[in-house]
Amino acid sequence: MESTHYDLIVIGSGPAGHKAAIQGAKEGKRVLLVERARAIGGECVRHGTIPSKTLRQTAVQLSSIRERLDGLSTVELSDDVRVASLMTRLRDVVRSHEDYLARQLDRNDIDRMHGRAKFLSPDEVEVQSPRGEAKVLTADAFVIAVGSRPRTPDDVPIDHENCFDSDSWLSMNYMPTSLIVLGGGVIACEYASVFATLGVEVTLIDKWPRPLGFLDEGLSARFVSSFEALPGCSFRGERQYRNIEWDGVSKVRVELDNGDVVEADKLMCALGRVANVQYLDLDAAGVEVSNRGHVVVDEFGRTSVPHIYAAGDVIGPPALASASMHQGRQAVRHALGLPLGSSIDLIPAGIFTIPEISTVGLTEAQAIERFGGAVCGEAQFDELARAQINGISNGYLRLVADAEGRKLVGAQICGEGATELIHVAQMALAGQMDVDVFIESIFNFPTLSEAYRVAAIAVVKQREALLAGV
Amino acid sequence: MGNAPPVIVPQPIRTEVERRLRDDDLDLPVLPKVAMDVLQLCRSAEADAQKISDILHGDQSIAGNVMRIANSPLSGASVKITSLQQAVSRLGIRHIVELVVAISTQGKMFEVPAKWQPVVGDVRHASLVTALCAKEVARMGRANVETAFLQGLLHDMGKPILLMLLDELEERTGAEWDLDEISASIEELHASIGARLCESWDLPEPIGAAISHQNDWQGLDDPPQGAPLISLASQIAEIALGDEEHAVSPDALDGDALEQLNLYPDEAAELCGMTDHLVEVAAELGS
Repeated sequence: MESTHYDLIVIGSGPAGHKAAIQGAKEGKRVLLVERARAIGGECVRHGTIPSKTLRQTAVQLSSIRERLDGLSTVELSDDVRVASLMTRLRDVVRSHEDYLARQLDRNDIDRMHGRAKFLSPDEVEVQSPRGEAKVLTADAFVIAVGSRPRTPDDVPIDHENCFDSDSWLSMNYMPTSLIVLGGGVIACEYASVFATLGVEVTLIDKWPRPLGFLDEGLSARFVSSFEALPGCSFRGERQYRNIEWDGVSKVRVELDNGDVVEADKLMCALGRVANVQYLDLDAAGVEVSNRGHVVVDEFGRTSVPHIYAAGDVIGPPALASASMHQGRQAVRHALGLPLGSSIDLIPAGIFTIPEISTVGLTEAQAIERFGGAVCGEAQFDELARAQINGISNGYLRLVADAEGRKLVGAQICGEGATELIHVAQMALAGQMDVDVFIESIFNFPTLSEAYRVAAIAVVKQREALLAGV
Repeated sequence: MGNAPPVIVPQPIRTEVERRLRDDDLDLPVLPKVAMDVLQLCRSAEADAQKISDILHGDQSIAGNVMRIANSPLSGASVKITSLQQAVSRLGIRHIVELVVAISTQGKMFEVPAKWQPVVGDVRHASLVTALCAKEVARMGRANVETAFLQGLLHDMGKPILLMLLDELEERTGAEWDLDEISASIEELHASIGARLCESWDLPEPIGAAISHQNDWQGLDDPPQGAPLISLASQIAEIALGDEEHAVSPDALDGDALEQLNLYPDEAAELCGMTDHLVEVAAELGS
């Protein structure tokens, strides 16, 4: 077998791997990118972020039309509407994104290989193509960025016909009339709210008392109230499934631990994701894996083998595309001895539920823990002219300041546009600004950004009260 | 010594097929009304075992076949099924759709006359095996399983339709073509006719798109996902049916299709390991 040496081999071309490869090439290194799928971009492009957001866009537009009609007329999808028809332009969007990613690789002279990599030793990988041809490659450094796949417990009968996982879900032909979603994490909640908005009766079942439990309580409460306001939709918290079966006719039947039975046309299992390490033979390289199956890394993305790094979903939470890109770049910068950039604390979280949720920095609870206190201010969207015009009154922006009510330490937003709006707070945090900056600044009118000013005024009022000893 | 020149499609055949496709003048088999009604009902929210069995009662042949399959060991029946409603419940609505379309394709309308058997073989049986293989390939690649079955089942159904057309053309024009010319015509033209059949049966668009490009997907920038899937499934089926002595080997499979579907040798081996069972199921379905 032919052997080839590279400065850097990146395994996986999703957000983490793609950015890692480009970072290496920008520093003049000879880089190889190995990808198990034929196309560049990983699950994010074909099964994850891109298709789900395309479907979401249709749901948002439908919701917006309904809101504008204000009961004057009804807008319903027909019974036999095809899922693919709701993702108009998906093919074009995916192609264009893949082309863009591939052009970037070509521009940076990054070699590509379609195949599955496995370590033979800490310095060697074997890449096998779908045709079975194998090639041994060596490198000075490696980045493992193989991503994740849906976790499918043995007692959930995933058949991709009646019971789907979160990746196979979008291959379904027709929209179901009812759906059970197992899980309360980001993927579960995003799909639950999108399908609920499209008119599907959705039951969200999770073992925890509230979905999106890692978020500020107010945000998950707002998500639940918006979700349950849709016809036939409910959240069943603190419930575990006891048995799941297809009734053989037309329904999936889920028996819960309290004896309740929930039935629906289809079921989607979104009980987390597991790292795609199964083909890598990490033992051969001596790379440590946690008991949850994630590759163990230090703060620089370095594994237990110093010249092997890992980034993205494969190292576990937060498993966001934005964080993965950052981790990929940071890993390579560290491997090459370059100065590291900004801290990962400032990466915002964007959750594409309906309504959107986005956060950056600390929550109120985290701020209290860190500073011994926190001062928070909120702006409800229905107080803003732009939100009224856009028909997105169901939302709010919350600023979290330190115990003195001066320094901005975090922000949380719920409402359409939240994932864009959050970047204003991110910049203020990066600049270590006081909340006063939002009062002193003049924003365009009418815009949702005015919410920053309203929330900051609320913080300053409390600060003044604190100073006055009221 | 050079290779023999490739056999080309006789111009009168090409012209006739192109005209028929353009003028929408193909003599396409009609999906039995019962099958059409079942397909329609299953797309709606109102589908239940009672309504489906009511429809199935309208076609003795289909109803009889559904009862036979429901009572076969393959469906896992432990007690005798005595009513159509029970049969629908046993098999499940989605499988009833597949079964009803499958039964429809096993009828006389897709029968290949004996004189053409050396050219195309037993299209109906091979299609059933391909359909079952396609389902497993789809499951492995997380593609749409329901669509895959119908893609596999109908991928070659353009062939018997084309052969009937050629019969008619020979009779009308007095032309006689040799088997190589007929074979070349079928290879080149059957896919468009199969796709047109799917359109006339109002099947989901990805089925027709995949059938249409089953032979030329390698040349497309972004082929329909079902096209390489059909290609791989029909190859697995062909090997499984053609050589009873030897197991299907993953090495013999089309590398382009495996590459397009991102299936690796261990996954291909797993698929090959299922073929005996699938051939058995197809035999039961088609008997």
